[in-house]
Amino acid sequence: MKNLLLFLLFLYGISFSQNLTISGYLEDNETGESLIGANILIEEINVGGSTNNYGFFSLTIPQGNYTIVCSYIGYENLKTTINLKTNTSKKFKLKPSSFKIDEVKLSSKKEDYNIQSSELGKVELEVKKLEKLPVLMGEKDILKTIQLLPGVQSGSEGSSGFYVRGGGPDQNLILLDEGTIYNASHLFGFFSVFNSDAINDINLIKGSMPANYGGRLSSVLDINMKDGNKKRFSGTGGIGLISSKLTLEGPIKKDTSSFIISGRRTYIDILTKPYLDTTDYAGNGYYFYDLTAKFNYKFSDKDQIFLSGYFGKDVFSFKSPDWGLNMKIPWGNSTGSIRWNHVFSNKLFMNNSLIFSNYKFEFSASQDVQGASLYESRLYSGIRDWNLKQDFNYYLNPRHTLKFGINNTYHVFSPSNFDASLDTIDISTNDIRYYAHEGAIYINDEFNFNEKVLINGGIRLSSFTHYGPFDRYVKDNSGNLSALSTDTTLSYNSWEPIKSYYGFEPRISTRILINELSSIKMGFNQNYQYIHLTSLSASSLPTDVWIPSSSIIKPLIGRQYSIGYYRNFRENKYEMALEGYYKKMLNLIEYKENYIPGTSIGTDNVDNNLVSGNGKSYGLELFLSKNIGNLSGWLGYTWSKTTRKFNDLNNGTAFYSKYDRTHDISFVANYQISKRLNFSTVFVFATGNTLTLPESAFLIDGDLIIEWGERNSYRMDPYHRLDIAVTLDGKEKRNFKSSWSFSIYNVYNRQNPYFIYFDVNDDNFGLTAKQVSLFPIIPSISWNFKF
Amino acid sequence: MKNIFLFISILFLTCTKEVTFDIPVNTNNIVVNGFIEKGENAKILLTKSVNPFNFNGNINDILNDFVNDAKVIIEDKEANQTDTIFSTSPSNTDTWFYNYKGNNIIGEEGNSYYLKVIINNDTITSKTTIPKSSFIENTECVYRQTDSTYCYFLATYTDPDTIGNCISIFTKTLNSYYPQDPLDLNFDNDNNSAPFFKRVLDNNGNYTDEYTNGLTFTFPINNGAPEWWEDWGNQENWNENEVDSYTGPTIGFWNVNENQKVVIKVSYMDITSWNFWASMVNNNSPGIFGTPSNIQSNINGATGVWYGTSSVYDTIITSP
Repeated sequence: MKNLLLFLLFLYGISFSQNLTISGYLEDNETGESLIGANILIEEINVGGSTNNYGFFSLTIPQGNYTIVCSYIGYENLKTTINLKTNTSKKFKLKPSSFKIDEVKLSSKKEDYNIQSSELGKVELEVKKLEKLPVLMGEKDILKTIQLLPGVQSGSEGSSGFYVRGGGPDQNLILLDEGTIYNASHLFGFFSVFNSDAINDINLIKGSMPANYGGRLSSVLDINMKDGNKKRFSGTGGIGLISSKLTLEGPIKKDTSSFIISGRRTYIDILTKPYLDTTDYAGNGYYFYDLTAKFNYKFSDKDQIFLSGYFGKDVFSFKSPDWGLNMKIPWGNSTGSIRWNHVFSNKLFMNNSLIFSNYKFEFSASQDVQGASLYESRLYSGIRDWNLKQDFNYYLNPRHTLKFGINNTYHVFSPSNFDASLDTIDISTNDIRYYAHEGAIYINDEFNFNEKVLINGGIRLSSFTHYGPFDRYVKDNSGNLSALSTDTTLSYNSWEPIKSYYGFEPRISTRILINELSSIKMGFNQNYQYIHLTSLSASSLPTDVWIPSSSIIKPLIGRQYSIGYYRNFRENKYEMALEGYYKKMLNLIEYKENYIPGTSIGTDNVDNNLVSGNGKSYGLELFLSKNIGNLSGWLGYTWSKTTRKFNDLNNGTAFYSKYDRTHDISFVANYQISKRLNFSTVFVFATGNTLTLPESAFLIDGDLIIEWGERNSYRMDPYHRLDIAVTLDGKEKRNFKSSWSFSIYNVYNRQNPYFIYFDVNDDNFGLTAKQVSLFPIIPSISWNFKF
Repeated sequence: MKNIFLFISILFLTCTKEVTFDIPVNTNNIVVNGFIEKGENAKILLTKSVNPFNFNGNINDILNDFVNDAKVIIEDKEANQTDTIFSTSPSNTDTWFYNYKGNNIIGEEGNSYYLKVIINNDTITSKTTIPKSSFIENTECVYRQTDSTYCYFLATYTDPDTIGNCISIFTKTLNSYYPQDPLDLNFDNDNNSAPFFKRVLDNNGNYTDEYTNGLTFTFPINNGAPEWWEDWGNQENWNENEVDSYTGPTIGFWNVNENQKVVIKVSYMDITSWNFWASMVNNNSPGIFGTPSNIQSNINGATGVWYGTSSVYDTIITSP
C-alpha cells in the first residue's frame, strides 16, 4: 500500500512543483454570457484546456512568457501575451464574429477536438445550428435534432422521445441546469419541452459516461440555460403556426447580475375551437405552455450564484354534454435549482447545488345527472426529487484534471393514486407513495499519460434505499396478486429501511492518438439505475409511471463496451467517426403477460405486476460531417440489433426490443446561400418499428378474440422522409433583427406508419390490418425576431 | 385515451390505409366457452380457433367450427356428483350457443366445479366456483338532453359485505322498433328482440368491489357496443360515424320507443374467470395508447373460460 501511495504521488506531483497556474473565465464581450466548452491554448508549449459548465478554466504551466489563444465558435479568436510570474486570474472576453463561414459549424469545439479528446460517443450541439434546420409546424426542437445523430432513434412519427443504443426512454438522464426533466415532451410526445431561445449549450453523452453523471444506463442529455445578458436589455421571440414565444434578458446590475425569462404557449385550442365546435368533438381542447427563468449574481471573482427554474404544463380537456361528462388531463414538469460557485484557488473550483424536480400527471373526470353530481374521480401519479450535490474541479497539473463530488437525492414516487366520490361513497387510495434516498460519490481523472495517450477514468459508488412508510401486499398461495385475494400485508413505519442496494460503477475511456488527423478510443462503463418507468403503451406517454427499485424490482445494471476510430480530412474540414458498441442491460422490467391495467390500484403494489429480464444491444455507428464552410452538415448511419429476454414473457424466448432498428440513416445539409439566405434539408430512413401480429383467433360470446403471436416478430414498413427549409434574415434596423423561416415537412408526402391496428371487416367479420399515418406534407412558416 | 387519439387525429390530419402481412396462422386449437349457472345445468360450447384474417361470420360457418366429438366430465366434489356428457344440438345461452349440456349437477352458490374435456387423447381441465349474488335495488332512465328518445340508466345497488365480488353487467333489448336479430339467432321468430345479452360499454361491463365492498350506491349503466349480429345483412348501409344508437354522439345510449323493455343482467363470478372477461378489454387495443395482450384463460391445455356464475336480472320499461 505504501508503495502504491508513493507511486500515485509520483504520478500526480512529479516535475510540476515549479509550475504556476493561470485560471479564470471566458465570456461573451457583448452579453457577459459564460462560454461553455471554449478553448484556451498556450501556443509555445501546445498546452490547452477548455472551460467548464460555468465558463471557468485553469491551466498549470511553467513560469515564462506565453501567447494565449482563446477560441469559441461564432467568436473572433482572442490572442494575447502574458508574462507568468505568479499564479494569475484572468477574465477573457471574446467578441462575437460578424457573418463568417464558421458560423455554421456543428460544434463549438476546436477543429480537431474529436480526434484529441478522450470522449467516446459524446456530441455537443450548437443551438444556432438547430435554428436553421427544417421543423414540424415551425417548432424548433432540440430533441428532434438529437434523433438525427447516429445511435439515437425516435420512438414514432413526430415524437420527441429518443432511444439511445437500445435503451428505453427512462434510461436517458435529461438535465436542464442540473434539474432532472422526467417527461421531456409536450402534446403526447410531438414537441419537446425545451425552448431553444433560452438554451446556451447542449451535450449528449451516449457512450462512455464520466463518473460525475449517474443514475441512468444509456445517455445523458445535459442542457444549460443562458445566464442572461449582463450588458444590456435584449429580447428574442417568434410567432409560429401553433405557438408563439418570447424571451427577455438583461442586466440587473451591469456585469454583476442578470436575468433571463422565456415563455411559450400554444394556441391549438383557440385555432381548432371553431372547427371542433361543428363536430362531435366540441368541448375538446388542448394547450401547453412552458416558462423558463434564470437569475445570476456575481459576488466576486470567486463567488457566483445561479437561480434557475422551469415550469411546463400540458392540459387536455374533454366534455360531453349528453352524458354530463367533464374530463381534464393536466400533466407537466417543474424544476428549480440554486447553485453556488466558489473558486477556492486557481486550481480548485467548487459548485454546490440544491435542485428540485417534480413531474405530475393527473386525470380528473366528473359526471352530472340532471344537475346533480353522480361521480367525481381523480387519478394521479408523479415523482418529486430533492437533490443536494457538491462538485469539485481540481486542475492539479497539465496531466491531471480531477473531478470529484458527492450527491444525495430524496425521491418521492406516487405511482398510481385514485380519489373518487360515487354517489354517496368516497373512495381513496390514500396517497400511496414510495420514499427513497439515492446517493453517490465519485472521482474522475482526465490523465494525459503522454502526447499520444489520454485516459479518462473514474469510479462512482452509488447507493439506494427504499424507506417506509409503505405497505407491501404479498401473494397468496394460489399466486393471485389482487387485493381481492391478498394473504398478507407487510407494513413499514416512517424511515424504516425496506431494501437497500449499492452500486460499483467504474468508468474508463482512452484515446490513443495515431497522428494529428486520427485516433482510436476505447471505453467501458458500468452504470446503475435505481428508478424505472413502467409503460403499457408502444410509445412514451405521460401516463407512464415512475417507480423505484424495491424488494421486488432490482436496480437496472448496464455494461457498455465501446470502441471508435476517428479521422479528419482536409485540415479538419471533414470529420469521420466510426464507433462500435456492445451493451448488456440487466433487470429490465415489463408488465406481466396479460396484465389487466386499472385493477387493484389501491390495494396492490405496482411492482407486484412486473417481471424482470435482460437485454442486449450492439451496433456500428458511422458519422461523417463537414463542419466548416458555406455547405455544412452530416451523414449518420447506424446498424444495430437490440433484443430482450424475459423468462416470463414470450415463452421465455428472446425477442426484439420495440426500440430495435436495424438500419437508421440521417442526412442533414445546411447551405448558406448568401449573407441573408440559408437553405437546409433533412432526410431520414429507418427500418420499420417492430410489431406483434395475430396468429389465431376464436369466438367467445360472439366477440372475436385474438391470440397474438411472437412478440415484436414483424416489422412495419420502413420510415423515410425529406424535409426542407429556407431562412431569410431581414436587415438589421436599430438593433432589431428578424427572420422568416419557411419549411416543408415530409416533402414527398410519404405515408409513414404511425401504428397498425386490427379492425373487424363489415362484410365477413374477419380482421384487416390498418396502418395509420400521421403527418402528410406540412408546410409551415414562422417569424422570429431579436432586439 | 380514445378521446385523446381522436383529437390528435383531427389535429394532425391522420390517414388510414389497409396493409397486408404474410403470417403463418394457427387454427384448430380447442376453445372452451363454458359456465355453470346457479340453479341450472352446465352449458359448454367447444369450438376451434380460426384464421383471424380469413374468418367468415356467416352463421353456418360458425356452426361448422363447433367441436362435437369430445367427452366432457363435470365434477362437484362437495356433492360427490359427476356429469359425463356428450355433444347435443346447438342451442342458445343468454350470451351465445352451447353444444354440451350437463344433466345431473345443478349449480349451487359456494360450490366448486371441475371441468375435464377429453378429445383426441388430450385432456383439458379447469375449475371454478359459484359465488354468492346480490341484486339491483332500483333502476331509472336518464334521457338525453337534446332528444328524449335516447336514454341510459341509473342503477342503485348494494354490494355484499364480503370483499371479492366480481361482476359482469349485460343488457338485452326486447321488442325494439328496429331489427336487432335479423338472423333470428335465437330461433324465436322475433327479429326485433335482441337474441343475446351483450356487455355494457364501460369497461366491458366488468367490475369488482375493491372500493365499494358492502356499500350501497348509484351508478350509470350504458348500452353496449354494437354487435355484428344486430344488423347483419345490412352491412352496406353501416355508417362509420353513426349507426342508430351505436356510434358517434349517441354511443352508449338506447334509442328507445314506448314500452320497450331492456333487461339488465348482473353475473357474479370468481376472480380467475372474471379475469378472462376483464382481459378482453386489452385484447385488441389499437394505436400507441395500448399494447395488445392475450386473454387470461383459466383453462389448462386449451384456451377459453370455464366460469361458475350466479346472475340477477332487472327489467326496465322505457317511456320516452
